[in-house]
Amino acid sequence: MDKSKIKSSIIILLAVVNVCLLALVFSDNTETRKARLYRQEALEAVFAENGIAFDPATAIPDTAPPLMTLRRDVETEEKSFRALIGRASVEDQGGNVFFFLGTAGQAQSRGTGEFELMLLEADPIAAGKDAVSAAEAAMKKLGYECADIAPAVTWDSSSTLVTLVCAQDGIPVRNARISFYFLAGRLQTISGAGPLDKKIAASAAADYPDGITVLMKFLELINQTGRVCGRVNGVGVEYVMSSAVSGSCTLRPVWHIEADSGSFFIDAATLKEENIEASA
Amino acid sequence: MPDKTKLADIAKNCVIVLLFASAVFLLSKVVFNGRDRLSGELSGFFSGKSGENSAALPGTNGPSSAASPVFLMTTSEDGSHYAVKYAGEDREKLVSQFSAYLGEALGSPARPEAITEDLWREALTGSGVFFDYLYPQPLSVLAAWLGTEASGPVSEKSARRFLLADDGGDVTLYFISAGENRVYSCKTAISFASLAARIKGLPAGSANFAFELGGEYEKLAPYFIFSNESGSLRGLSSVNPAREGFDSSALMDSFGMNSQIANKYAETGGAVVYVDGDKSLRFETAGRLVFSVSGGSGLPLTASGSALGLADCVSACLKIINDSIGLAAGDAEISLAGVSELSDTGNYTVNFAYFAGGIPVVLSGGAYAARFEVRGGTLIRAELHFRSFAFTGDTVLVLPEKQAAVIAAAGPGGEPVLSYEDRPDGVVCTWISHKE
Repeated sequence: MDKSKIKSSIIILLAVVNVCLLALVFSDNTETRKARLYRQEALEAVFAENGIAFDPATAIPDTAPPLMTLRRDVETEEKSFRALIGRASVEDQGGNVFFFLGTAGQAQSRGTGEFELMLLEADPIAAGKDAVSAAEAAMKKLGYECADIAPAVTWDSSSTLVTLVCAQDGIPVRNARISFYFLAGRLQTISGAGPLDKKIAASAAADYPDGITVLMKFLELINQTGRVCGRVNGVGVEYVMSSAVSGSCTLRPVWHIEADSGSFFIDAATLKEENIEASA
Repeated sequence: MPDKTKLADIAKNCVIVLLFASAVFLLSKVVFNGRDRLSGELSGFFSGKSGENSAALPGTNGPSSAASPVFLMTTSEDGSHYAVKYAGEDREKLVSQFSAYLGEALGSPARPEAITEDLWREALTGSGVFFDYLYPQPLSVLAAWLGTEASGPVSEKSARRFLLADDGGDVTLYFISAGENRVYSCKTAISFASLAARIKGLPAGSANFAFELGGEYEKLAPYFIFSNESGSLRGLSSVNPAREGFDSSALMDSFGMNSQIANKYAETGGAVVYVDGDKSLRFETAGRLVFSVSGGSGLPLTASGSALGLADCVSACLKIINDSIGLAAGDAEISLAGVSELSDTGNYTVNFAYFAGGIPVVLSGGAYAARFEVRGGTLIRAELHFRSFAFTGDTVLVLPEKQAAVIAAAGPGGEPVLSYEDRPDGVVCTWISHKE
C-alpha cells in the first residue's frame, strides 16, 4: 500500500474520531447545561418556599476564584506615582513607609497597599472630563484595575469625592477602594488602598463549595437570623484584601449576594458571613 | 505532475496534523469536562505549574512568625473598648487587620522617650489599638515577623504590651519595656486615619482595663482586660509522644551530631544518652530532651564568621523546634516566650511555650516547651519537652473571667490568665496567676 493511500486512511480515521469526540463534547455540554438549569430551577423553588424570589436570569458562578497572595514592589509603585506626580525622589521613612516627592505632587505609601497622593499643580487628567471619568483615568494611570461596580460619588458646591473599587484579574476587591477628591474641578488628592503590585502565589480553589451550596448556606443564614430578604438580584464572586504582614497582602475570595434588602458577603472557604466594612 | 503530488502530500500531512491536534483537544475536553479546567491545566502545563497549590516564589519567604498577640483591644473615639482574648475568629480578624500597623510602627519610630505610667494609662483610654503578647517579644524580632525592620534604640528593647494611639492624626507607639518596667513612647511615620476607619467598623464593646475599674480590682494587674467573654472552651488532651519511640538520628542531626558515630547508652531510669565528642543528647522517657556541650564550642547557629544577631538566633531556634517538638505538638502551637540578655553579642537565653487555641499551656513544674542557651553565637544547651496535644471535641466549662478576677483581686492579686494545665492525670483548663 503506498504512502498516499495510508495517509488517506489515516485522515479518514482521524476525521471519524473527531466527529465522535465532537458529538461527545456537545453531549457533555448539553448535559451540563441541563444539569445547571435543573439545579437553578430547584434552587428557585427552594427559595420560593422560603418566601424569597430568585431572579431566573441570575447567573451563578460555578466556583470562587483562588486565594491570592500579592507582594509590594516599590519600583512599580514609583513608576505608577510618577505618572501623576512627575519624576520623584524616594524617601524610606522606615516601617515599609515610603515618601515620594515629585515635581507635580507628593505621595506616601505603606506596605499594606494604602497610600495618599497630593497633586500640587493643576492636572490635565480632569480637563474636559466629568469627575468619574477623570477618576477612572487617574486610576488607570496609577496601574490599578477598576472594578465594574458603580462608583460612590458625593459632592457639594465646590468639591466632589469619587470612590472607585479596585479589581484583580477582573474580580472586584471589595475593600480595596480609592477615593479621588476634586476641588473646583481640579483633582487634588487621591487616597485609599489598592492591591499590591506583584502576584506571588495563588492557591487552587478545588476545595471551595460551589455556588449552589453557597446560596443554600445564604438561605440558612437568613432563616437563622430572621433578616428581611424578599428577592435575590445577583450573585457574584469578589475578593477581600487583608494584610497581616507589611509588604504582602492576601486576596481572599468571598461570595457577594445582592438582595433587595442589601448586600451579603459569604467567605468562600468557611461559608461564614463577612462584614466587609470590618474587614477593610 | 510531481509538483502536484508533492503538494498533495504536504496538504495531507497538514490535514493529519490538524486532525490529530483537534482530536487531542477534543479528547482533553471530554476528559476534563470543562473549558475552564482545561485552560487551567494547559496554562499550568505551559507555565510549569501543576494547578495545585503553588508555592511562593523564591526570595519571598520572610522569617516565619512565632508569636501572635494573645489579647487585643481597640478603643474608639468615644473611649469604648472592644477586646478579644485568646483565640477564635474574632481575634484572628483583629490580628489580620492591625498587626501590619504594629510592624510599620516598630519600623518607623522616632527616638523613644520614657513617659510616666499616668500618661501611658491616659493613652490607653484614648483612640487606639492595644496588643498584649503575654510574653515579652524582642522588638527587632517582632518587626521582622511583621514585615519591617526595627532600627535604633527601639531594636534593643523587648516588650509584651504595645499601644498604637492617635496623636493628633498620627500614630504614636507606646510600649512597656520588659526588664526596665518603663513605658516608652515614640512618634511614627504612620497616619492614624486608616486605623481609625478600621476601628470604627468594629462592634461596640464593653471591655475595660482593671485600672479603669479600680475599687475591688485594685490588687489586680492594672492591664488585665475584662472582655466579657463566655466561659466555655474546647477540651484538650495530651500524651507523651516519646512512648511511641522517636527518630534519634533526625534529632541528632538537628543538633549537629553524627548518628553514625555517636555512642549510645541507657541509664537506669530509662533515659537514653547519645554522645558525640563533647556534645550529648539525653532523652528521658517522660519526653524531656536535653542537649548539652561539655567544654569546647557549642553548635554554631550561623555560617562561620558571621555574628549572630537576635533575629537570626530566634530563627535558628525555631528551626530546631520545627524539626523536633514541633513535629509532635499536634493541635498546639509553639510561640516565643521571651529572650533574656538582650544584646547583639551572641549571648541569649531563648524560651518558647506551648499554646493551644491561643491559650497558654502550662507544663508540669512550670517548664518551658523549649529553652535554648546561646553563648558566643553557639548553642551550648537546649532543653525541649515533647508533648502531643489534641482537642477532644468536648466543651469544658471554666470559671467566668469576672469571677476569676474577683477571686484573684480578693486574694494575692496578680494577673489571672486562662491556661491549659498539663497534669499527670490529664489536661485541665483553669485560671493561673501569670508571672512576668
